[in-house]
Amino acid sequence: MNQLAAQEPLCTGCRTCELLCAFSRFGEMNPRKAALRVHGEFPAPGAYHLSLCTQCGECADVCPTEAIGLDETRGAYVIDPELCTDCGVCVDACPENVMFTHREAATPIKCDLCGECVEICPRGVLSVVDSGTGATVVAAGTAAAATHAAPAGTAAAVGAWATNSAAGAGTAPAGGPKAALPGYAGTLLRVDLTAGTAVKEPLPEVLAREYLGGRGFVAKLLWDEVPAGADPLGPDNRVIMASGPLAGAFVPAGAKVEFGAKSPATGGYGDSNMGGHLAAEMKYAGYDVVVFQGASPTPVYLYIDDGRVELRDANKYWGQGSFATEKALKDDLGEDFQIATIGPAGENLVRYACISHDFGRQAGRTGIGAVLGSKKMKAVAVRGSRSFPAADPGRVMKLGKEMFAHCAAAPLFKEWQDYGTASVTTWVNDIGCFPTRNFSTSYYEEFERFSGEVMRESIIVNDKACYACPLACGKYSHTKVKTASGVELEAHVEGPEYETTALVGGNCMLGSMEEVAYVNWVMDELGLDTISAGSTVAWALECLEKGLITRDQVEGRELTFGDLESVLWLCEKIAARDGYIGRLLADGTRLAAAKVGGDSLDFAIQVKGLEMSGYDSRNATAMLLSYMTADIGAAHNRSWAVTHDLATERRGVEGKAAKVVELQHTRPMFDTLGVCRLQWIELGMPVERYAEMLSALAGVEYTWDDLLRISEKVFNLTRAFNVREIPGYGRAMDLPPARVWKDPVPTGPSAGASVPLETVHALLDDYYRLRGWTEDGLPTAAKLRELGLDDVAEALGAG
Amino acid sequence: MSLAGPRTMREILADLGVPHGLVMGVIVQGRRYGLDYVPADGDEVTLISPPAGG
Repeated sequence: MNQLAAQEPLCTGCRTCELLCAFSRFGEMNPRKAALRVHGEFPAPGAYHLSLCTQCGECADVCPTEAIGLDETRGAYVIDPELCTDCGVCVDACPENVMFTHREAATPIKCDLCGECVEICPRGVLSVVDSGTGATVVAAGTAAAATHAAPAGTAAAVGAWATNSAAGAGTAPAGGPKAALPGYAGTLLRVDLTAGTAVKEPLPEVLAREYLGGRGFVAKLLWDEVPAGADPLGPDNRVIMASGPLAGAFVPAGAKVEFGAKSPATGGYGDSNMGGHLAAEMKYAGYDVVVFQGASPTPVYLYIDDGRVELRDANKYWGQGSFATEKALKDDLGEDFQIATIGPAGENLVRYACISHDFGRQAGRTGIGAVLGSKKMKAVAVRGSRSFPAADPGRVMKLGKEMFAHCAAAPLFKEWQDYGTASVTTWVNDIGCFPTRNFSTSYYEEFERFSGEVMRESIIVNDKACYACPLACGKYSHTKVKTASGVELEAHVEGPEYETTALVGGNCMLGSMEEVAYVNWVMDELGLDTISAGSTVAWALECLEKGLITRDQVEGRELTFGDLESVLWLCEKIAARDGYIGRLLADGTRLAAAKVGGDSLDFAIQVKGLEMSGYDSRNATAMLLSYMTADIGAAHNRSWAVTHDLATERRGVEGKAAKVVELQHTRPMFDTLGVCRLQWIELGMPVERYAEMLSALAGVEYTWDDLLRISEKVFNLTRAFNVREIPGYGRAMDLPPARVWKDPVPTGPSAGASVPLETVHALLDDYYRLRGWTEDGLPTAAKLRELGLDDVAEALGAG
Repeated sequence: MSLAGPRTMREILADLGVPHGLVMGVIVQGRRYGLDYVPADGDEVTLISPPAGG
């Protein structure tokens, strides 16, 4: 007799095993039809457990129709669908609770030891062992030809292997449910918080075809539905929550959900995405996109359980931290609900409040948490058990397996598994780009305390993956610190990611990885974006040093760089908008500098009102241009060009704009498709594979060039949104902080570097020319019409 | 490749004209090393390229 076995400490919770189990049995992407389960134990201790069939045979013993019998070849008990009456006696009798039911399945779902999960597991967690001796029969990555393997990339083939499953007969047709839009769940959910209603609308096919999903949906819906001049924190603003066609599909890390709104940080286009398991769960519940409009008079949360949608009272959660709310909702509703929440910062309309999910994933940027707070939307809870259709599931299976195999064979696979984004910290310092002391310099002398190796050794307790991600770049940590006044603190937190280490560690000059991790947890729990919050705290500390903010204005406290208590105190004040300093800093550095005056705007490290992420770019002009021209403000998510700078003249102009434009079309396409880009950029996955996968899912043939054209259209649309919403929008809004040209880097490898203002303008000249925009950076009517945005050209009156 | 004598990875990369900064470190037999690593005869060396932002 054989059985599945698991080395649980190796599990990262990616649930690829669940996804493939169901896909191989039913030809459907729906983990609720899997024959095993992964459970997370969070926030503490931060571990995963698996529910696996032990092939004990009790189900066979109790079956009244003798439908369950031993398959001697495989060493597994299997269900004969011809004899099974679906009475459920076996389900109740199962001592491991691993016989599952599904309303679409004609029989219970039970492990038949096909070995697919063993083969796909990226960490070697699973194996097939001899029940008696414990000897390994099938080890990770070495499974024999799997029982359910599709012989050819056709939907008909899928039907053939589904019938071999215990639950194959009587289930949904091969390839899953039919719908007008393969690859999509097919529904837009419109939640009107003023009226207290939730209405399901068919997902417009034209929206899917022309904007694909994720960021594309966000851009189009914001342009169409947010009235010009709307208050970002008023009821006319919208929050869009959008998955993409690759989210929830059998593809590495189809895990990205995009949030968007008119940003309270910039007054213009805002979006931010996060991984975790929410995007997939939305699809499985039957929704591609949720639109929140209006404002509720009292705190509510959105409850989605497949077709059941309710706005529920959230008074008991209001005021609680992000993780506390997530834990409470899971306790109240069930572990299998995926939760997104805001923290107190969102409730108190901090302009850089984030949205949290999965005990450590954040849609951090542009203050969308505050927009949800303004609508009294505390949380979203989603559970789904539906399948979404694929046009050609056989092709999806073949491509998906090839893509997972590519990841596992990539030379840097283990490096990423070990360190995640923390692997970059030492390198960024070595090249003189590490933000230190409010970007006053770009080299931190004590950088070794923040290295990936130190982090791995000192605080990481587990690796934590987003849905179906083999990388597991998330590092789950346990940190203990003691403040200068002797207070002992500890927390479990996902991270820190590189950006947090840069903006909280280097920029606020904290003393250890443990301190960075603790501040990371506090910011997450309060619902603050760690990038903007780290930058804002550092700006305030510099203002205090220069006397631009007085000690009286911080309630007589002595606040300094490098002091953990100073940083924590400021975070609490900001999230609560408490006192003068809390109210001042809750609006972000640009608005705060307008109040503080002096030269404080020069060292407010932001563009368009959004604080810069973790790369001092005084010695890297393509990266600087990336920050200047990103549609949401100074974020690295649109274009990350540091290596291009290193391979060329670091402070040159030639070729920089072309690289930035190329990246601004490539990187955001992943946010549009609903899939993580790290498998492309870090593991070398060819971009064409993503176009192939979309084609297989949607039944429409796309090339990568097709997708780039859509990306260019979306980039012009978001620019147009900024032009419409921000009075006087143009070149001036693309300028970086004056520190870039006024203050040469004083120390480290980039010592002496600055970017003269004329170089800044030369970069913009090149960039606008390549974009086909005016000299002031406005999209022209010709460019907008070329991209099919005729209505936008008309609305702007573009020349 | 053949080397006349012991060389660090930093020196080897410089000889090859790889710009400083484009390699973060190396992996040899599954273990991570800095650019001061001196390859032994027969080593298969994987170059670690910088991650492209979080």
